[in-house]
Amino acid sequence: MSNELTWHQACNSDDVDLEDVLGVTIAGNRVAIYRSPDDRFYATEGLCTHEQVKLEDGLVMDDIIECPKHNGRFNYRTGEARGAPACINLRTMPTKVEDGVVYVGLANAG
Amino acid sequence: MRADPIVIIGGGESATCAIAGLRSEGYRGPVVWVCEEDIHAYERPTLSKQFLGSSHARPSSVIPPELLDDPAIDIRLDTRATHLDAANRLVTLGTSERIAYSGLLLATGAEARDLDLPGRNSDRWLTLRRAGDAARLRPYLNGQSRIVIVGAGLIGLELAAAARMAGAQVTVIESQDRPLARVLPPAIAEIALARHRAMGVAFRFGTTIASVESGPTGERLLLSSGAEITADLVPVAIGSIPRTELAEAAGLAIANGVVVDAQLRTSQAGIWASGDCCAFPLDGRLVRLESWEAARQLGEIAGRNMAGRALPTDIVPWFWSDQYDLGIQGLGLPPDGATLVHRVIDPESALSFALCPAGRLRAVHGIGPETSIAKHIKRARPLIRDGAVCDPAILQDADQPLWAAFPPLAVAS
Ligand SMILES: Cc1cc2nc3c(=O)[nH]c(=O)nc-3n(C[C@H](O)[C@H](O)[C@H](O)COP(=O)(O)OP(=O)(O)OC[C@H]3O[C@@H](n4cnc5c(N)ncnc54)[C@H](O)[C@@H]3O)c2cc1C
Repeated sequence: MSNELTWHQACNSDDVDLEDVLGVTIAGNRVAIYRSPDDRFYATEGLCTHEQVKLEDGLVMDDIIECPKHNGRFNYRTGEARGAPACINLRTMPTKVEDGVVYVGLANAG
Repeated sequence: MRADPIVIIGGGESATCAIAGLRSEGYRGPVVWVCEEDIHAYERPTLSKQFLGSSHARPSSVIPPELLDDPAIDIRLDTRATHLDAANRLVTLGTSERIAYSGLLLATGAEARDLDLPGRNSDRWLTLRRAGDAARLRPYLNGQSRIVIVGAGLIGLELAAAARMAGAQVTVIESQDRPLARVLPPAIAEIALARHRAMGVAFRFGTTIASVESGPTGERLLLSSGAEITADLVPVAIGSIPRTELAEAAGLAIANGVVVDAQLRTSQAGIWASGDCCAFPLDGRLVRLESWEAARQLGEIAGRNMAGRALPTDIVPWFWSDQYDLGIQGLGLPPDGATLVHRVIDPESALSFALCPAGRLRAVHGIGPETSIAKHIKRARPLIRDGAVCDPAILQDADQPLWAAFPPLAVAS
């Protein structure tokens, strides 16, 4: 895999409340954008690793996202699965904010 | 001398979580894990949902790999525990093998209640509890089938949705005058019912099957209303019965489930019970739940307690159901005589709050597209746990933010 990143525009920073999550589609992939209580942005794949449910409908508590379906928990900063039934980690992606716009870096295929 | 093993009876979610719980508390001793079914513990809820429409041979396993690889866990599939001698701490497997246990968990689950009507052709009837039942159902999920489902509970309606989406002609017969009466407030159930009707499911409420006549072209069902319907397949979804036969024969206390105390201990020393088979104290009542999350949580607590802890079962019961793209969730147990406060989000999305007379939130049920109501349900969890007092006028007013109905202190705690 190449480690070149392409930055994709995801949303405006004020589209996401503090301690909340927003779902966006980037290059055909569902991506969840999180805004942490300390006002940083994070991104993970948008579907739960347990049953492909949209994480954007889940609840953010501190640095945890709880899946809207079966209450599996992940640390959205690291992607680590933190509570059954989720046992596969979430893929995370880098983010950056420029002029009020949140960008997500996706690895270039190849 | 080698210590006697801990014996876990039942191969479902609850048993799986109990073994994980034992290990998480540092119990490293031998475990004998006995399951009647011939496949490893799997996701049962999917049997009335995605699994029906998929081509997978079996539902996904729920056993974490570290348990499968653990050499001290002796997994016996396709093996039934047939006798329990609580006084001597002995359990019999199959016809003859006897095992002395140091502790034993009953996680035997439940079985589907059936309708054994005279004259029926059993090939055209089924209940849905095991992977094999779903496999029998699949060939009927097509445009040629006439499927008559008995029971408009969660499983019956999930099946109705799966069958309609596959093009089958679907009729649901229900003895009560509305669907989902046991599990959902009327206003939430009505949204589900409207969708089923719009999808072309026919309902016969306040009706039972009076008699059956089997013929070459199907089962002719004569209904108590006098009407007649012919079915190629009759799935019966009228609830479940706890698997208590082993416990009962061993003299354990039974009350619609194996009776346990707040730490999941049965009336006999050295025996615990968890999951769909047990009746445990919750909010001053003895309740038996039939839900996936509770089966998991109770299993974990039982396992940890068997390893020496004394954890109480302070859970807030939660369930979900999927019908078409509608997601239903319920949290908490509505008390008798609850006041229901309804909040309409849009025509296919609503929440219903159950308050006790003092205005404290005790349960919330919701319906909406996919997982759109999940956040509300999740936010209610600490409020239900704390018995937060709320303002019904704000709760039902969709123009006001929901959480304004609760005092800020309750939200923060
Ligand atoms: C079709 C269907 C759909 C469902 N959908 C949902 C849903 O959407 N949401 C939800 O919250 N819940 C749902 N549930 C409920 C959920 O699946 C159960 O609550 C859960 O499976 C209970 O787990 P358990 O481990 O207690 O029992 P079970 O899963 O019933 O497992 C018990 C096991 O023990 C075995 N056993 C019994 N007696 C013996 C013995 N003497 N010796 C050896 N083995 C024995 C049984 O064969 C079985 O394999 C659904 C259930 C069904 C059947």
